[in-house]
Amino acid sequence: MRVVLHLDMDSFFASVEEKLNPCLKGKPILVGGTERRGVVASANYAARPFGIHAGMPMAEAKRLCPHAVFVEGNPQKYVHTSLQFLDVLKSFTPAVEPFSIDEAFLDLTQVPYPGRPSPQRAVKRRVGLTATIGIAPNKYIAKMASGVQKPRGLTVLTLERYRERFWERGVQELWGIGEKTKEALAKLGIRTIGQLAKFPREFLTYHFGLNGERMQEAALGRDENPVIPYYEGVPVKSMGHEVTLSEDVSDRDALKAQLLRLSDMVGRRLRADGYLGRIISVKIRDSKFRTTIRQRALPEVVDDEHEVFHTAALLLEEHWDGRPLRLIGVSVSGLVSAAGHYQHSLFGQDEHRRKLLEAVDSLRDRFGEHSLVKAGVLR
Amino acid sequence: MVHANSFPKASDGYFMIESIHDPIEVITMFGNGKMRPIRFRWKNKIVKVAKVTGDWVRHEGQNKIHYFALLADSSDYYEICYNAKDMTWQLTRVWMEG
Repeated sequence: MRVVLHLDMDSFFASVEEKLNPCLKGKPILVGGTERRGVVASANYAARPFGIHAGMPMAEAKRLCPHAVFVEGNPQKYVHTSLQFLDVLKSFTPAVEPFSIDEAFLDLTQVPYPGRPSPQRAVKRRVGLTATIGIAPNKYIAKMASGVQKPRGLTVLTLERYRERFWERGVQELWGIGEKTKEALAKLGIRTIGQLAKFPREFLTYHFGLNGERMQEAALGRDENPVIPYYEGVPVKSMGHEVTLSEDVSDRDALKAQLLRLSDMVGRRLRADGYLGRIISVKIRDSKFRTTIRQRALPEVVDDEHEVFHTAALLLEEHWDGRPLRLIGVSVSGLVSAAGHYQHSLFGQDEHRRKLLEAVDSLRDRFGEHSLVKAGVLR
Repeated sequence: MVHANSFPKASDGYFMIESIHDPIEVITMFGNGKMRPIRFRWKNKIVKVAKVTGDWVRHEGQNKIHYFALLADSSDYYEICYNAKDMTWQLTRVWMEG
């Protein structure tokens, strides 16, 4: 049987701020965007009794807890700390899969464990931050286990214990199931995880496609996915950027300027990481928080922001009804490795464009991302 | 009085770490491949560093900007940064109790 550990840092961004600035100890801390429309990215446990949670608008958090400390998020600071705790985890096993900036999976199946300090203690001692751990026979149950008791929790779940503990609970407690899926399952009479586990699979597949099968496997606690060691790299499925606008925007040109800026960032990342993608998606959210995502598949894979922007702008034209927007985003999926894809266009216009992109990338590599900005963004 | 939609400011009576971008002069110790700020001058005030609580790096193209989180003797908290390209120091954040 496999032994998989999921480690989740406790209120990571807020804890990093508290560690760096001991004056904040014991105070409610909110980390996030400090502009008017910013949202809470992380709230420490002193802030949670006030009803504050990640994703909540900062203005609302301010109303609920006016004496909290507000800290503008700083990605470099958190990435630095993330690399530190990953280094600690690598001392236990090379089979460490970074899952997000504050989470990782470890495969401890081959690791002689007795007598060693727990990864939790090692992270606390060497990084100065607390973490919660879930241990289980697979990644899915380990992730569910780490959510059982926070902060500083340690939960071990076998397959049987997972079913005992979760089957009576609502489906929304499953990792990966949101409000819309919960409602769709309720229409089939499925409200608990146990009901989902026992539901005839063909009906689930009929209603949800491949996702129905995946949901049922999750409910059953079955997951064969291996822990992918950090040195092998997890295949990237999509790359995207989105922005919460400082105020609701209904000006078409202003929205296109944002799309251009976001497409530029996406194109730059695709080329930097050696990917091309075929599916372009646009995400918009209006002032009433209604979110729409639309996508289009291109005939060929691309990594040029011009192509990304062109398709994204078309999608916006087709699917935006003119209502004011608070958020806009662009992503590219259907990614393949860029290696070997440029050979067909060694001559002609494509080659000129490719050289231009290489020159722009080279300048930005040397002088920073803001050293060159597209004129269309400056409005 | 704080407008309902505005972000709280320290001057409104809220706790907040203020973002500042003031140039500063720093006495720094170099050793073991690391640098460590010892004290700095900000607006004619000398701040003695009691503890470096953390450091990290931001890349701007090939240039590196080194950040330090500091506790002063006075228990105030500061974040400062060193821009290796133009060899300048800047105070970026400050938290003062009371």
